[in-house]
Order: sequence, then structure tokens, then C-alpha cells
Amino acid sequence: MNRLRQISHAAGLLWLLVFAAYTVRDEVSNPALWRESPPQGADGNMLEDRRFSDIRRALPDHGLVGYVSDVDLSSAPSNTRWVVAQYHLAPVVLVSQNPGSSSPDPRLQWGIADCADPSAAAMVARSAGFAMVKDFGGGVWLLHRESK
Amino acid sequence: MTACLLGIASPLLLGFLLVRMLAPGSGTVVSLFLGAGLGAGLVSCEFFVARVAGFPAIGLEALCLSGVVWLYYRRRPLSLVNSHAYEPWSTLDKVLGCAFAITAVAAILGFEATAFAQPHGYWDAWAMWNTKARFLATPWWRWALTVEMNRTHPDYPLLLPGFIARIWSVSGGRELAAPILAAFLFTFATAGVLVGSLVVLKGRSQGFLAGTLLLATPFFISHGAAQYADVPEGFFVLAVISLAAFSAHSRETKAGFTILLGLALGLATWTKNEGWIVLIGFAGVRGLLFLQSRDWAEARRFGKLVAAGLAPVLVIVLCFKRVLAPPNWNIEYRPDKFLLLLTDPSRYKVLGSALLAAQSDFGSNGLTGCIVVFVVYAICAGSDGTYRSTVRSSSGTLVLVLAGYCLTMIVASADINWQVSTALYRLLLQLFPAALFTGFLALRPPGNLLASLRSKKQPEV
Repeated sequence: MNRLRQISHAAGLLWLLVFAAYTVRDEVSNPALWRESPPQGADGNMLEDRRFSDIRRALPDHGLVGYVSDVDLSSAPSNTRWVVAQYHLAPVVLVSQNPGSSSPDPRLQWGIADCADPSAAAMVARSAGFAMVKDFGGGVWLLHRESK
Repeated sequence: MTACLLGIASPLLLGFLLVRMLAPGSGTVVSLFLGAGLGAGLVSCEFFVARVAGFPAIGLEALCLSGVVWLYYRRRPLSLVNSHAYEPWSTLDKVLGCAFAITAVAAILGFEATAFAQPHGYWDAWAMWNTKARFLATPWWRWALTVEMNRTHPDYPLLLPGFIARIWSVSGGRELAAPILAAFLFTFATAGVLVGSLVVLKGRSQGFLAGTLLLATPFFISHGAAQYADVPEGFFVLAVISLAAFSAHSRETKAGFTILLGLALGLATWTKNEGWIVLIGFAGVRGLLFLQSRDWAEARRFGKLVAAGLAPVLVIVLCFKRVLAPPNWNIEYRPDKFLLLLTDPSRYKVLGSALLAAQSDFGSNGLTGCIVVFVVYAICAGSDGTYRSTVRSSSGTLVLVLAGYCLTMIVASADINWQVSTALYRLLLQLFPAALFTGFLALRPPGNLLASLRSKKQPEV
């Protein structure tokens, strides 16, 4: 190896180590490392865990369960809302029900309402053909198919 | 947590013994880390087969483990593929070893900090992988593969959910520690395989340098801690590339390395759909090499050995894809629409500019991107040409796989801007560890650079 190649190789090594040192400095100054902020749940807060853990015990072990919400289920944020609920309530499968749907899915005997505005739960549940059974707080209700 | 640790003990043992038995020439470090990932993949397959067949997974796992233990004690002791790991430690080895150790500790702290702040992982983790694991851990796992679950991509392969569900089946709970442990295992096993392989093939300094660059890339650590499947996929791509290198340069256990290579290829297809592109890319480059050499006897022998490792996993993946999973909704099946997407120049423009930007942005730590760091280092160090044919075939495979990834984004039915913004960097991440391995395999190792720099040139007499 000639002298110039050795010097350039050493400079390359130094360059790589500076990059690593910069990352190390960032990693050890991460606020989460020093517990300066609380842990977050799937959707940004740990409340979801508690919100859904109680209703999970009230739902069937498996199968299809209706899911109604007061937010537009086709938009991105409400999609996140469904996915968070599905994550917490697996292995039941949440089937989105549009409020006001003319023919409610007969497979869905049980359902949940997951509303941003808790006062809207009764309205969206009824319009999807469900009766309110129990309030689990935070806009989450257990529902059952209304008998005609 | 202790129960979850117990849950990963037998996959670690199974993988370690399997690598030690089939490929002892890779050294203890590679056996440990490569075995960890392969073991996790194998128990995921076993767990899925047991679920489908309806018998307890623990029986099948005990059978596999006892078989491997029995074979392990009948093996012949063999030497390493290369003697670099036997060489004494130079001063530079010690300096770079310290730098790697500091970076590794910082990476573990960074991983732990992210896992503490986001114990459920990021979007893909809880929206897909961990949701599926929660189904697989119960007798009602088939519900995860219904069309009602379309938003969670029920056609995606199940290595990661299967491994997490397998840990939960041992612990008996649904602890958040299980997906975190799985993510930790694959993240740091990738670094272990990278460092261990290069130490054996190219020397300690080279191994430590590659490991330092990998673990100093924040994108790699944050995505590992985010519990995404791209890091496990990257592990299997690295395993394929490094095992191909070992296989090419091993005299005693070429067959063992090749069987493990086939297994790693199979597990790549069981981790993500991109694994099929890795399989096709690898087969394409190998095919071209055999066409060039016209060594058909060697091609047949190689094909049989790869198939021995690949076939058992591929059968499981194909059964899952053809029988159980619904079709992928992101693939355009109508030929006219497919052709329209393929010939749309605006899609190539978006992808091309994103790839250009990635050259400086990918893996940036705020100072610069890791590709820039590697390219500058490569120019300074230069190549030494020791593994020229291996480097050529590895880089050919990676280029072909990258081209395949780009093609899938071009013909995917989803909006190209959305594809590029959400998937491109994660696809690059899958190839990143293997690209580092290939790059550092090609470069001149620092050797005893410090000693050479310190010594003054003697005047000629």
C-alpha cells in the first residue's frame, strides 16, 4: 500500500467514525431514553388499551362483530380508528357498518360503537340496526342486534 | 418478560445447532446470530403447520429440536472457511472493536428508548403484523385471513406473526414484550451476521467497520424497534448473500452452506412478499453464472442442495398463498390496466427522482446519509479484488432485486406517490445489510494501517 493510499484510507476511517459518533450522541440524548415522555399506545395514547380491554371480555370469543362510528369510515383518520379497535379486539373481526344502511348484515348479532363524540353513539347504533347494551366509556358501547 | 424469554430459548438453540451442524466453518458468532434468525423462522413455520393441522406446536418443535441435537452430536469437527478470525488482534482491531461496541450499546439504548415510547410499535406493526399474531395465538386464527380483514393485508406471509404467536403460546399471555423481543432479535442478529461473516472472510477490522456503519444508521434501528417486517426481511437477504459467499469459498462444508442458503431464501418468502423477488433475483443471477461457466454438473448439484433447504418452507408458503390467503389487492390483474401502468412515464419520473434523493437522504443521522458515508469511505479505501467473483454475483443479485422492487412499485395499482413515500426507503432497508456486506467484502481491509502510518519510510541503501 503506498503512502497516499494509507493516508486516504485513514481519512476514510475517521469519516466513518465521525458519522457513528454523531449517531451515538443523538441516541444518548433521546428524551425517551431518559423517560421524559410517557409511553404511547397504538394510536398515540395508552388509554386505548384500557378502553378496549373491558369490552373485549364482553364480546364473543371469535367471529364477526359490527363496528359503527360517528366519523366517516372512508377517510384516513377513521380508518386508523377501525384499525386500532381491530388490533385491540382480535380475534373478533370488526365489520364496518354504515349508519342508515338499508339492509343490516344478518351475520352481526353483536356490535361495538366507537365514537369520537360519546353523545352520538345512540344515534349511530340505532341507524345501523343495533340496540345499546353497555357503556364502556370514552365513546365505546357494546351493541346487540335490535329484534324487530 | 421471563416467560417470553423462555419462548425464544428453543428457537435460538434449534437455529444455533442447525448452523453449527451444517456450516461449522462460519464460526461461533455467525452460528449464534444466523441461527437466531433461522431458528425464529423455523419455529414460525412449525407453529403455522401445527395450527393448520390442529395439533400442539410444541410436539413438532420438540421433534425437530431432538432431531437436530442428535445430528449435531454425530457431526465432524471442521475448521473455519478462512483463517482471519484466528489472527492476533492488532491495535486497529482493538480501536475499531471499541468503536463498534460503543455504537452497539448506543443502538441498544436507542432501540430500548423507542420500544419504551412506542411499545405497540409503529403503524405496520400494530395494524398488520401484531394484529395477525393476536389471531394466530388463538384457535380462531383463520378469521385473520378473511376478506373482512382486507385492510390488514391478509395475504401477507406470516413469519413474524407466527413467531410472536409462538412466544405467546409458551408465555400463555399477550405481552407487549413478545413483539419487542422478536424485533430486537432480528435487528441485532442482522448486525451479528454482518460482523461475524466479515470477520471470518475479511478480518476483524472490516467486520467491525461494517457493523459500526449499520448500527450507526438511525433508520435501521428505528425500523427495527418499530417492529416492522422489513428488518427481518433484510436479515434473510443478508443471510442469503453471506451464505452464498461462504458456500463459494468453503472447501469442507459447501453443501451445508448451500442448504442453509436455500432455507434462508424460503424464509425470506415467508417473511414478506418481496421474498419472491429475492428468490427470483438470486435464481436469475445463479442461472446466468452457470450458463456462462457451462458447468452443468455443478449447477445440478447446487440446485439440489438449495432445493433441500428451500422446498419445505416453500411448500408451506405456497399452501398459505394458494389455499388459505385471499389475493393481494394491490396487484393489477387486468392486462390492459397493467400495461397502462407499465408504460406510464410519470410513474418512472416519480420513482426516479425518489431514488436519486435516497442516495443522499437514506439512513441520514442529521449529518449525512449512510450511502454517502459508505461511498466516501469506499473511494478512500479502494478495493482489493480478493472476492471478485463473489462480489460480482452478490451485487448482481442485489441490483436485480432492487430492479424487481422498482417494477412492483411501477405496476402496483396504488398511487405511485403514496407507494414511494411509504415503501421505497423500507425496501432499500431490506437490501441495506446485504449491500454493506457486499461492499465491505469488496473493499481493502485496513489491516495494520496504524502501524504502517507510524513507521517512517527507511532510506534505500
